Amino acid sequence: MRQLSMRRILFPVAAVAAVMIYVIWWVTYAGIHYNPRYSIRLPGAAAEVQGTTVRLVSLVRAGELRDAGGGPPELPVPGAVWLVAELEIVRHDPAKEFPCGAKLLGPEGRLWNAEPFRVRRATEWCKPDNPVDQAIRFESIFLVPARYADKLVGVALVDLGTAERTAVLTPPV
Amino acid sequence: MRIARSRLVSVLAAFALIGLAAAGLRLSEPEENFQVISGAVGTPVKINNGEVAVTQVRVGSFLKEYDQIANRTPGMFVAVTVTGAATGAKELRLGDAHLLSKQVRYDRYKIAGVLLTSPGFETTADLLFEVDPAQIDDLTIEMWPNEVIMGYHERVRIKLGVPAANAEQWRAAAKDRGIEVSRQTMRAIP
Repeated sequence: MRQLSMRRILFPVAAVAAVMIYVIWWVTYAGIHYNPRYSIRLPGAAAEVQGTTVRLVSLVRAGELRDAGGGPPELPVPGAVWLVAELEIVRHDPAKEFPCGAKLLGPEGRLWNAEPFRVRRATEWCKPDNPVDQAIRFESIFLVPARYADKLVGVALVDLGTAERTAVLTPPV
Repeated sequence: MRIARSRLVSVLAAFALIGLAAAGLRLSEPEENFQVISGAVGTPVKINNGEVAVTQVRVGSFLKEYDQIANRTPGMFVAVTVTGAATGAKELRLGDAHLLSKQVRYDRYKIAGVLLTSPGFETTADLLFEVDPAQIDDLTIEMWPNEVIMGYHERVRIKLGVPAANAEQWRAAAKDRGIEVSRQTMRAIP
């Protein structure tokens, strides 16, 4: 068997190590950024997102969306129900804006975005630039297949500006 | 200090590095590397995050919107009704689509949008194409989902049932016929 000096073997070992470091870094990055990770809060507990305290006031299932202007209600698509989340936020940091990225988290990581609707609502929609130190309430409305409506986890406050776990608010008992 | 060299280790290391490089190349070249999933009209095809089905194919020489003629073509319009069902835990994003006929590729008519379906729902939409009536043999729709890593992506190919033998019937059917383009609809998967 031939002998090889340590200096000659160092280069290939360093090359393999560099490739492995890159692969491990990429897999870790992808794991953090492409596979959502959640931190589920206790019922009624608040979370901090971009200098704003957020609390889930209620999460109500509805068979129709009432029109505040007295018009006809809006019905969900066949086989689905509306889920109306009322949230309260207090903005502390005037340099930061609330990202308005609330999504509904269901079983096995299913996520539903807030859905557009046609009726007029009494409660406001989410705005990012709210007054500082003032409690603001707004609604996020979701459309969910009826078979998942009783298996929901909570409202996920998705913030793409951070790699931290996404806070999931659950309604007060 | 001296170390014993094993030929086996060198060969294995070389193969590992070649494999790694090949995987990297494959991940970065979306246009050339994809898995074709073939299907037929009326039968759902399983893909990542869901199922895709072509439920109807209509041809015509003009488009109608609210009973008014919206667009005319000297060629032929083909409206393919596609349903995407997000049967898994993730949303289904059908990126783009085109029609293939032998050496010809037809892109979507007007602006192409993503057919986005949330988990547990199915979305149905008409995909519109403007084609040359002389080149419609074996017309096949090709669709693919939008994915972050493109290297191992899938393309669904569904033949629309236009073999060369009956292409003339399709051309005749399109003459002076209008297509009422349906709005996108959504419902929970039954």
